[in-house]
Amino acid sequence: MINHLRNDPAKILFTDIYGPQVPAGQWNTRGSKTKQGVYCMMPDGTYLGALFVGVQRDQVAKMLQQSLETWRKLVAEKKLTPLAVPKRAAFQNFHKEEGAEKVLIAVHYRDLPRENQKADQKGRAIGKSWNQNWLKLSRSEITELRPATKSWVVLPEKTVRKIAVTSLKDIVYGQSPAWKDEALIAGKLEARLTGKEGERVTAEYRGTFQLRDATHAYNPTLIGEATWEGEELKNLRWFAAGPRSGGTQYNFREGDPGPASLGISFVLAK
Amino acid sequence: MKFRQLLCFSTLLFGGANAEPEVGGRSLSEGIKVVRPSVGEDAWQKIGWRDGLLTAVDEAKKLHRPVLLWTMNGNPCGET
Repeated sequence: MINHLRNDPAKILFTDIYGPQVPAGQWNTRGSKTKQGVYCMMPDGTYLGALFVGVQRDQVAKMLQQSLETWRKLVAEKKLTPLAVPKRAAFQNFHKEEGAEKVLIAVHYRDLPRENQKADQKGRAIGKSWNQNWLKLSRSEITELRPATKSWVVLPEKTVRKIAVTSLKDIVYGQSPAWKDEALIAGKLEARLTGKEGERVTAEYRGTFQLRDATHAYNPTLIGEATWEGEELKNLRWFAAGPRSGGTQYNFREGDPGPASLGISFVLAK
Repeated sequence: MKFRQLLCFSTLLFGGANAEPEVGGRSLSEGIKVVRPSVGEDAWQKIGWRDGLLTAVDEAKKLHRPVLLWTMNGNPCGET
């Protein structure tokens, strides 16, 4: 995958021009090829600052301040005349581009408050960290979520399975892969109509899930609602919560084995 | 006594029928509110990020401004 970027101008700027200037501690050469982090540079690649795998806000803020000071010195030295940065809309390209063919649902993750526990064994405040993912459903999968009657109906297993294994996971502090199919021990999502007025239809949802593998587990209950105008989903709001335990290789749950309640919200991206 | 019992039963029946669903003691709105980022928590998403290093570099050259590059494994817009 890296080979096709070998001659990419952005890659050359980053690794060949900027990279050699970065202090050893912030330019990863520790065996893996990853360069995840926060980096500051002049447009010609001149080094201003760097923080490999920079995730702690205080450290990132300090690095940005130092980079800003270095830049100001360069402005004076080189007699630059910085211009105002034009205001631009917030970066929303991802879900606008993806949304053309699929329906995007913003999924958020956060530990729920715990009785008698403000922090985990690593000192992290419970509920302070959160993460975000996207659930991408095709138009036909979205159609399957629309109930036809006022009685509860069990929604199609294939789509419910997709939702469960890709989204009902613990990524509050990092990454977790989708659950393998066999990890979905049990899962059911039901829906029913709650109102109909012309083309406008409202629906209610409820579900229970058990997900478990050798290293971690999550057993949420889900409630929610949605609104349709004809065939188009106009609004979707779901909330799932339940006990999680254990961890994955990169979700940084060491020091917080659980069981403890994890909350996940699903809201249609607009 | 019988009337009081009937009254309590009726309250439970009709109160239960209209009760908003909850999970872990939270309604749908309460649950979504506690999980989704609050004002200020998602400030980084309000920034007009450019979607490529060279896009930012070209603009920075014209503006005599520095470039901040944030890279991570996966999509910066989710599951960081």
